[in-house]
Amino acid sequence: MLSQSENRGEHALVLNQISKAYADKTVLNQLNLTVPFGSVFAFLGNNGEGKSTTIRVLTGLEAPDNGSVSICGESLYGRRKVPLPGTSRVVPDYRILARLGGLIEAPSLYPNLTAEEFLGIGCRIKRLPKTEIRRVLSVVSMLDAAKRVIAQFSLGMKQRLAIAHTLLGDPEVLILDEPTNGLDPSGIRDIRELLKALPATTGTTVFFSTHNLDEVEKMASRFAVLKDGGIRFESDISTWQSAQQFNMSLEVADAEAAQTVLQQHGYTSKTINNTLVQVDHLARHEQPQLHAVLVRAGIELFQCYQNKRSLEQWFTNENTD
Amino acid sequence: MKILTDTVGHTADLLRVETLKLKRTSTLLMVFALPLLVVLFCMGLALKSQDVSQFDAEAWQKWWMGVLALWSYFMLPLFIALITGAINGNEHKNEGWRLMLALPVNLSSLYFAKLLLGALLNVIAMGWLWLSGVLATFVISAFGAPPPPDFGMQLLEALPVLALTCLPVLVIQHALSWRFGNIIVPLSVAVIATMGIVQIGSSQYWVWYPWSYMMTSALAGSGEIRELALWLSLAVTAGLFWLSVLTAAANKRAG
Repeated sequence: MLSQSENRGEHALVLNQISKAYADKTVLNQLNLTVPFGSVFAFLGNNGEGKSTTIRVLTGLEAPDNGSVSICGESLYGRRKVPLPGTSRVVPDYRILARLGGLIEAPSLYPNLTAEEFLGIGCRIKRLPKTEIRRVLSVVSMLDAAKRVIAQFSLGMKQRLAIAHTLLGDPEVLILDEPTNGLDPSGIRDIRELLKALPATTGTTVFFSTHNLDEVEKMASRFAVLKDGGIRFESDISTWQSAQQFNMSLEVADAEAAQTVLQQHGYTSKTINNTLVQVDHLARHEQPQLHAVLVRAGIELFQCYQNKRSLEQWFTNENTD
Repeated sequence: MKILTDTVGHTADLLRVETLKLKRTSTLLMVFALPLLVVLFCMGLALKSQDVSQFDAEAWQKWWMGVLALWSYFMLPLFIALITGAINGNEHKNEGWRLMLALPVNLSSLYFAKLLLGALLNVIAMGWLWLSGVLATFVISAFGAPPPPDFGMQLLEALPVLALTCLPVLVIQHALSWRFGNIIVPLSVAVIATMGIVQIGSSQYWVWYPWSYMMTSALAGSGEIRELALWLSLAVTAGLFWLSVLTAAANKRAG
């Protein structure tokens, strides 16, 4: 019998050729996705592209029509015979779900319970000590609300409590659907910092779906875009950022002189006014070279502003057919 | 052996969790209020329609039988519908299914734990029915009735059998409440089925009508028929439970 750390496989999550259809509509079409251990993985896509379905498949709530799902090296679904003649059904092995913490769509809470009692549910099912309740409450800064009834909570507090529930027992993988929904700016920042730090502090892999693309750039180490039931694009955030071309506005003493130098060196640029030049289509690695060219030519450079294309702009362009 | 102890332990954990979920809800109030309502109704009837000073042993026996009859063929089926509705409604209302099924929870154990909780609440309600009946006898005596010859031993003996013969109805109502988010569906079934208890229960077709088992086991004149109702209800419970677990698994997680 292997311990959990020994029996981890190569990736935290592997979706292999996953297909799922409802009535006539194919939602996932041979979806392939791997999520490396220790990553904060953002899962993007427009509404109706199948993000929630993917999350439901990953958490055992929806069996795929085809394909396999592996969590930390263990296969989540298996075919089990049903005691009816000639029938069998694809069902999840619920024990594997102990390796996951899942927040699916809106937080599911029992408003008649206190925060402490609510977390007691997960604690008892996962057979964790009660000290775990206070630990996760402190992680989401809700210790003072431990004995308050959930019905009195704001939407943001409910979201934090739901996240606290997923953290019970330090699961190996966290699967979160829109984790910053309903949070105020400081709540968003807190949750972002928390999730970002999890791989380093507890070794947890975080997989989350979101519409907040600004958050993705600040939080994720890798992202994938779901479209037409499959992965349309997947990349490390840093690789994507390096590959993005951007514009740069340069504030110089003499815009005409700077423009001449830049054009001599093959840059696409234009003067905006007497002191401002815009350089187009720059890659990240070209930036130091650009500065060097101007300095060598004796151009006085006061400031430069990067007009970077955000992930949101990129995503909007990519998804406008 | 380990699988068995794990399953029992898991189900016991789920039973505790399900009990916790009822905290600060009106479910426990229902457990005590509905039996009390039956006793108060019977007590009121006794005080209003009879000269209680003439209460002899037979009158006391009839009074206890009245409590048993009202409970077994009117209130109990509705009570079962309400408590199973409350136990499962908790999940429907609060999207608790998503929470529970994303946890390492065996669906069949969850289904069974909820059913078991329903059965336990039922037993508590029946115990309270007897106890409040005993309290009512003191009230009736205070109005001038001679003391009762016993404290409803007939009812007390009938209740354990009733707790078993109501199991088929409990399974049906639990399966309906598990399946349908709107309590109107299981409650309508309970109301309509309750209306047929007296008619069908007193006909030769009672064996096909699980709602009649409770009344038959409690009130049938023949001991053989009462025994048949008991065994029949156990067999029907086993069959319905097996079927309902299959259906329950199919409409909640995955497959």
